[in-house]
Amino acid sequence: MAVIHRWLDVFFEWAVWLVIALVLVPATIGTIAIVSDRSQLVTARVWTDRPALMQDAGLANEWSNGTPASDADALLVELVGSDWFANEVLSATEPGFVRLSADAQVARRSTLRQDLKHATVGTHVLSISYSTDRPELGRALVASVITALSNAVESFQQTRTSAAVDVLDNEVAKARTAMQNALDAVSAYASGKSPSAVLLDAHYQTLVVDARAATDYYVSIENQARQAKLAQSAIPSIRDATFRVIDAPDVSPKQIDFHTPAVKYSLVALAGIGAVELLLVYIMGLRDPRVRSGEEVRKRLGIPYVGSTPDLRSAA
Amino acid sequence: MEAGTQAASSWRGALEEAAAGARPLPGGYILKPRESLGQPVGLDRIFVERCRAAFSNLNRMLSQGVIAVASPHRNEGRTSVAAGLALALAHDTERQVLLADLDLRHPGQGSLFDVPDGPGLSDYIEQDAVLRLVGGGPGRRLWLLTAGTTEPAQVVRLVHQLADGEFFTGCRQAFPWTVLDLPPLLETPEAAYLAGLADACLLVGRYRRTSIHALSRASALIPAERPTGFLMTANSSRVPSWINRLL
Repeated sequence: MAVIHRWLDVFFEWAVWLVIALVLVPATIGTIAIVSDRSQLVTARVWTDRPALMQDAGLANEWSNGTPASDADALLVELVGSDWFANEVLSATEPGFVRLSADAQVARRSTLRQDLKHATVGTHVLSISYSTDRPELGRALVASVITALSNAVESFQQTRTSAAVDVLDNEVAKARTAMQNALDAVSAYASGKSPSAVLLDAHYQTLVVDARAATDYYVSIENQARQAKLAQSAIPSIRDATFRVIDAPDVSPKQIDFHTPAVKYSLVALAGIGAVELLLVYIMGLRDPRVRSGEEVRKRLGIPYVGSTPDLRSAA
Repeated sequence: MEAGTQAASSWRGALEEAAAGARPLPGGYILKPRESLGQPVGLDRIFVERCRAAFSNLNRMLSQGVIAVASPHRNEGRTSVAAGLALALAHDTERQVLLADLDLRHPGQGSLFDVPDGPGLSDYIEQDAVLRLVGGGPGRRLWLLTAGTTEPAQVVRLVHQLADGEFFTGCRQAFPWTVLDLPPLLETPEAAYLAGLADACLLVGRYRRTSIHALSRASALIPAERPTGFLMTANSSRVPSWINRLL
């Protein structure tokens, strides 16, 4: 306990300076990092929506429950995380990218993922930003990202619609066969019987009802398949309606971002200073030979501790 | 033995004669003293209270005697503690208390109580002058014996004369309580010798100034059979009291 008291005493002796160092050093490092940060923010905004024909074709349930903007945002997260997307964007932006070494390409992809930010604005708008100290490069890169995202969205829609069309075509074929079988059964049952007799025949009436239901289902599913094919063929032509740039990439006013390296350096400094201070307190408590409590005198020298007096300015 | 008894009675007589100047006279008259102790600088009520508590923790058997206040080095609060302890004793016991400044090289009690250091103890021994005690404190029961003016080379000889002259016995006979302000134990050769003649010893160490090693060396100079306690002065630890209670 006397040892713990010794360390606490050292800590509280220097507490003011320790706290000042703990606050001042990280704050200074953060401020210097923010002030010396020459990077600029290139921002663009795009409008996203889902094709209206999809809903007419009964394909609305193929999409997520989120908003068009959140779907595009989630897709961009996945795309940026993939190497082929990053390679495509960087190849289009930096001509020398393909000639870089593998390690350099990894570093560039890592920088892209670190500096590229995106967020939804409302239901339909997706904001894409890139932090760089070369604005022209930033504009080109954001434009490249938008193009690649647009292609990916279109490809995504095409894939989903094609799958739906294939399912519907298969369903139409089955419905046509079922309808044809029902009609054949009616014809076969009615052959050789007088029309007046079959009209009163209950089994004949049942076959007719089945044939009519099969025909109705076939007509319905065939119509849905036609709508889906129409939507599939219309995807390239309605691209602008579902994904278009509303604000072209441009340099936007710089804002303090708490995810920037400045904050990272400050937090690292905070942790480092805290660890160094704890170490200093430990070493000072260990090496300081001066008396700091009566208890340690009692324990180390065996002299009873009888009390203490307060500090006097003129103690002799 | 006979010579020692005579020396003790000589000291006793000198001390009593010096103190008698301001004692109440028969018939209720009080002889007006020529000088009085001033208010000790900086010794407030809390400080004296802490000295009183320290003495209570140190002494559980003595009803009277000689208490030595010592420290390893100078400027560790020894003079203030000796004065505070003497004030507390004079107040609590309502008996006569002698505070003797035996730090002949660097006397401090005179300036603390705002009285001249000379003539004092060394002048009495060397020049055979009249012993001077200055009274004051609670009920005028505190008597200060200042160190006087001494050549540093003569100090050790004076201390031995003091001990051989049965000064301590005279103090015990003339005053119920005597508080000695000793010189630093590790800086002067005579301090350990004087500490050995007292009935109890209060070892003083200053917070964040005195080293444990110095306290260890100083405590080794005090005879083991003497009741000894450690008092820490200038305790300005900033550790919160609730943490201290937990520890």
